[in-house]
Amino acid sequence: MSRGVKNSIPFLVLSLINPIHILGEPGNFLFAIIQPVLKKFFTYQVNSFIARTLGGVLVLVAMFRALFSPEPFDQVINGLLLVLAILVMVIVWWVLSWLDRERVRTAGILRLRSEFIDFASYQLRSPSSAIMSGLSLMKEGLVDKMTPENKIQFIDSLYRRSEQLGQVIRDILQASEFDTKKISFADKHLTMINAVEMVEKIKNEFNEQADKKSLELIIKNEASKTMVKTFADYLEEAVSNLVENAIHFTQKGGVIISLHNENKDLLIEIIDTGIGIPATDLETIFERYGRASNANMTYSEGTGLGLYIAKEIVDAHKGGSISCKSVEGRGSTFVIRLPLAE
Amino acid sequence: MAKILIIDDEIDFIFTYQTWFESEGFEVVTALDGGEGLEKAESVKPDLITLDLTMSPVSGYVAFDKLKLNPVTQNIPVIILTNVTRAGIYDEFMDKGAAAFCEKTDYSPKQLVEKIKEILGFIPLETATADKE
Repeated sequence: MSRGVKNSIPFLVLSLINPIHILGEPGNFLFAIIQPVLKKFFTYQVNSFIARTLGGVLVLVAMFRALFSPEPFDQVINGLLLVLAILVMVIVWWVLSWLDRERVRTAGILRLRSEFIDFASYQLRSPSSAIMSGLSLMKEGLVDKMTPENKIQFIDSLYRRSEQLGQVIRDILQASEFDTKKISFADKHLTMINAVEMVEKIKNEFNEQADKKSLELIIKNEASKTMVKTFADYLEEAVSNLVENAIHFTQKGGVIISLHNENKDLLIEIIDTGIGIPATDLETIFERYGRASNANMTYSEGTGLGLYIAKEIVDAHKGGSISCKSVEGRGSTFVIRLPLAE
Repeated sequence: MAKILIIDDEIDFIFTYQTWFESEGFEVVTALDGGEGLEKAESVKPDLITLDLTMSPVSGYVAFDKLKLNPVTQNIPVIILTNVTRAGIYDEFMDKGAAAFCEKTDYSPKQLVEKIKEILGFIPLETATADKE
């Protein structure tokens, strides 16, 4: 790949996710305008110091005048001035605190976003470089010298890489779509499905992947009622994302897809014995660029969008929710809660 | 002929590089993660190692540091061969003593072989530089 094309990948990713950032975060957009102004004229701390000191002086002057002024009229005016000064202080304090929170939040989002760009670029490069180097074997006539078995394996791997490339692009585009336009399921588009059939289908799709890693993949159905009203393709995607992650991050043991009822809900749990998620990362894993820190160093696949997409889909169900419990080094449990169909 | 150890968890990359390197007359040994790579580096004593970074359970980051700490393996030239491109990573590994840092998308297997020959001294460095210019 030429350097120009290669270098354009991060920009491609950036342009794909930019609508997410601007349209999805009106607060940030406003802050993005305010922040450069603050930066230009004051540093944030200086600005805050000046505003608080001025406010403080105003309150002191007003108090002094109100207490020691001999005229009753003056006392009323100064009393009003005091109230006004306190009000100004409260507003200044509130605005500064808001700016402070926004600053921290924006910094967090920017960090996640930059990590995501690194990973998405990596995810696009990985299959494209495999396809490129594979094709170079063909170009040099080295494929002709392969054994028939190797040839089949070679073509299979190119096919798998093309699929992987397609999947990464689909994930990025879908996350971008969810972010600019929150999904909501209109009742007429919902169908009644049996969750047992759905998880069996998913299990069949992932059996080979689990076998390759010598992992057990089993379904444990303890639910007496398993019918839910959903947009079938979307829900299947959400559960598939969780099962795929579970297999991906598990080296020993296995993955259980468990179904059971609680009150009027159906709980679909995906339990693994994998690397787990550090407690500090549990809050951010469902965010759009979230990825556990221990996943970054070791595991090459995954854009960090799978869980975000799953959450968006589950949240779009009335009464639906997704959560995660995890112990680092021991495994994770993801729980999808959906209301049972009447 | 020189012996190359390829450490990479992606079988298709191993297959492609192995086919290329062998067609160029190199002897190839492979390892699927950093741990296996460290064992083979010590037992096989290759002339050069290509090392991927994102692998499990032992990543290339950890393997590289261990290779450079072990007196048996510390002088073997290591080419970092990866798709990871975060800021500062090139300097990080070159400073720690990598022989080269190659992005998989940037180096075709053919260019990689040229780089390996250059590092192993099959092509005098001056000629290689002059050719590029």
